[in-house]
Amino acid sequence: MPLLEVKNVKKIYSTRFSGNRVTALTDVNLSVDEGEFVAIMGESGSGKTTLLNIIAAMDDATSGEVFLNGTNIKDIKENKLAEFRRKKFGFVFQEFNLLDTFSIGDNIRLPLVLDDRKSAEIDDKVIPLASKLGIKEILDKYPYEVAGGQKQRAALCRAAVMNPSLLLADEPTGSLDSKSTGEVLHLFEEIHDDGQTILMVTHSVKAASHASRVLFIKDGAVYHQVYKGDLSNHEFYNKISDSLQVLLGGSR
Amino acid sequence: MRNIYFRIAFNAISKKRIVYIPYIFSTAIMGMVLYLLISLSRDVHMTDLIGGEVFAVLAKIGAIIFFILSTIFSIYISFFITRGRHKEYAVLNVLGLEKKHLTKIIFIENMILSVSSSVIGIIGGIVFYKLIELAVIKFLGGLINYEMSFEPMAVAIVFLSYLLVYSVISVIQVALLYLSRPVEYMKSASKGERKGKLYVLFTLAGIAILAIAYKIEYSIPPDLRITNFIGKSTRQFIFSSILIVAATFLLFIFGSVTVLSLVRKNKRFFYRKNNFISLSTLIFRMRRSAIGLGTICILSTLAIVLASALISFAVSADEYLNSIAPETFIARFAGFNGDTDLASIIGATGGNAKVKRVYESFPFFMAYTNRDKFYHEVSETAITEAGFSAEYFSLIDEVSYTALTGEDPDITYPEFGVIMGSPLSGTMKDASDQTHKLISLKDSESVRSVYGYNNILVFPGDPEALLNYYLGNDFRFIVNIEQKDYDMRQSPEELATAKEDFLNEYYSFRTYVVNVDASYAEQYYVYINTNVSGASIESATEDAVNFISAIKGLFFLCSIIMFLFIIMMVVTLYYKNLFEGIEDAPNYEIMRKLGMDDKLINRTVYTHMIISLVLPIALAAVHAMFSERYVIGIIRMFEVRVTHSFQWLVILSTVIVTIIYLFIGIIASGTYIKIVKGKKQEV
Repeated sequence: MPLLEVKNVKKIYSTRFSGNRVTALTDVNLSVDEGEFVAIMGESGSGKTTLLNIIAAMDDATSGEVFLNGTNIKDIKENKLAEFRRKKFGFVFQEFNLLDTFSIGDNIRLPLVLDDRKSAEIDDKVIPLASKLGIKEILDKYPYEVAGGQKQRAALCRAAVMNPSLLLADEPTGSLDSKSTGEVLHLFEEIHDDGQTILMVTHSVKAASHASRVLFIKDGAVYHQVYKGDLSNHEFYNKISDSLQVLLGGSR
Repeated sequence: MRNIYFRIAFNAISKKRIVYIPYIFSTAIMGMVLYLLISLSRDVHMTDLIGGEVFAVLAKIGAIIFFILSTIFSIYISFFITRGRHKEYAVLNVLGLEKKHLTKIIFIENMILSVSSSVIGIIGGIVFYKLIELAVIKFLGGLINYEMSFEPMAVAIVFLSYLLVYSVISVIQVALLYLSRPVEYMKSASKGERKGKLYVLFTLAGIAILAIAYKIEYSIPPDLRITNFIGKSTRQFIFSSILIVAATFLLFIFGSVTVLSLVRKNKRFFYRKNNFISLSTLIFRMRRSAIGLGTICILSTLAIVLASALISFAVSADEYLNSIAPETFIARFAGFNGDTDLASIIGATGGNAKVKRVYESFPFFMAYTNRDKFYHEVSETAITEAGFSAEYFSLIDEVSYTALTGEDPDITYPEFGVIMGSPLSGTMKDASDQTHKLISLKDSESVRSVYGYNNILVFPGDPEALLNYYLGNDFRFIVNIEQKDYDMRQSPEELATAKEDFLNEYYSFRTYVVNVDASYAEQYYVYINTNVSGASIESATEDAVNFISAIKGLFFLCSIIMFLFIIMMVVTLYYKNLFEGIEDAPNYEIMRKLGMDDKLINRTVYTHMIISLVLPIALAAVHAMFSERYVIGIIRMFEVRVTHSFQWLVILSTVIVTIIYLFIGIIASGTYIKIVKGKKQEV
């Protein structure tokens, strides 16, 4: 049984007053197995982020179903949804989404605290992971005091600290320079190698080339997919580029 | 070009009217209250009211405190509002508008706010002032004859105050503009806690200033009189009030963060689900909401003090009325036949009158005081130039004192017993510079009730001996007997006449406090008035009722001002939550994504509300308790004795204010929750 299964998901937005309807997703079907690192690619406005929000139960699908470990997300009661999200998902966002009123350390501790963990246990989890991601030294600093790459590492640390079933990343390198991008993607790979399942939304070929599988989304539906197999990152990069040229009309 | 600046400024306000209109509205309310207080303090008709002079001084104090408060409030809110404008300034700067042009825009924007707030505030103030007048007439009917007037000076003061406040705001904003580069302005504000020893230092300074302020308030003499009320005590009270305002803001801005940081050091406590988000957010939040909380604290203090004073006054006046039995009369008989006259009257009224107290009716005299000393002899020049003030003294002999109190005053020449509050203490001097020691006697209710509220001197021996002693020693004071003033600084012949008059008057009056059954009261009254010549009769109850009725006007005005303070408190609380909600919304959005449920959001918000309820109101209650001396002093100046505990009334008023605050707090927190939870986009 796949870890994540998305079946016939459709999403239509309508404005409150004029009643104009915009179709974001027409019919999305996909599945992610445990331990996979999947990237979803597509142009701006193709519905990538909408899909991610629906998978994470932060938005409702107009129709269709999402299963995580066989559980239909729609069946989870409203009051259990936050807990479900906390335990099952980790999030990394393009704009880091660190809480500016918390120190870096407290940002990472937040999911554990929300989960009612003991303070000793919290530090047992946070310190080793922060060391691994190279941010142990900045735990007492505030987000405004550190660089973008460090912020994204902190965000990654916060997403992974709960050992979620699925780590969701929305354009995680979108706000980073090329050096930081490389470092952060490397860390994603390391976490994946430790067994973490990752679903990443990106329009960066470089970011996608670190995944084990890439799905292409166009006009609100999954259009095509490519597997990394035994290819190196560089080879996979070329393969994704070629697919994009063919499928999306040459845009990279 | 000039038009462009105005257009940019006007458009900025118009585009953000959802924030600016409530801001203008709330600052206009402040202007309205300020206008009201200034007008009341300057109103010439005030003197027509009993206690009007006292009220005018109180209104002035209120205006000073309120001006400081509204300045802080306006600057505080302006920071919230303009924060979002920094990016716009940066873009305009990058597009080619120089900083001097941006300065013009900032000034024009603030002038638009200043003029609109002050105009609305002043018009509101004038209308409200008239409404109060109508309400006074409607509710108090013929009890008071009071007409409120339009005060051009109040208009000018309010207008200039606004101009000043908004100029200060402009200068701060322009200074910030010049100190930063556009790129810094374009970045979002860097948030997070700034550490530093300054926090501890300022906290300690706040505590020290508060201690000094409390000490000053407590050094106000417990028995306030018109002389020190107009002078030293009121100056002390204003000074300590300003210190309290300063200390309150220091404690909220720096003290709260210092304490919360200490709490955070306890990891086991801090990293608990219910504490973690609340405390982390609070530490950051306090830096900004501290000013809001400080404002709420001062407004609550004003409301609690006023409420306690009003309740205290109402209860005391009521007790005072009850203490005088409804049938109590004070009868004065001329000559030496008082006892016989009274017996015949009592007989004539069927034996239903009982003599409660008898006392000799002594004349009162006037002496001069200055700097805690009491002088009999003061030159005319000194009175006018050196600021000596006149004090009235009632004389009572030791026999009457013993009869009234049941206590022997135990005094012998050259001592005098004295019943009065400070500052009159120490030595008493006469012309030959002989020093006479004053011995403080217990402040006796029974003595006060028959001798009024002058200072009371209890002298040993009989009055003739007293006069002989002092006249022989060139005793100089002005004595008032039956409307006749005798300046004893005259020739020996005149002095002898004065002495004779004094003794005649002294012996010719005897006063009886008589209780009569209510059903015979009228009969008793009519009998004396028609049958006994040379007698005067007054009903104590009737006098008291008239007095209390007359004071109702002031009571009513104070209630309205208290109500306005509460409205301001509500407005501040509401905007504090509104602005904080807008600012906190992105953080809550992130926390929701990370798995924070609605229950925890609600719990966090209500924890904040409780903290922002408990801290300012608890501190306000302490501030209010320390105002006891001044407040009680003022009530006593209205000749109403306060017999109950002021502290309990402060607690009671605090409970009332807390209930109102809680009610508004829940509504405001609801608004906050609505903002931070946002609204879902849905199909």
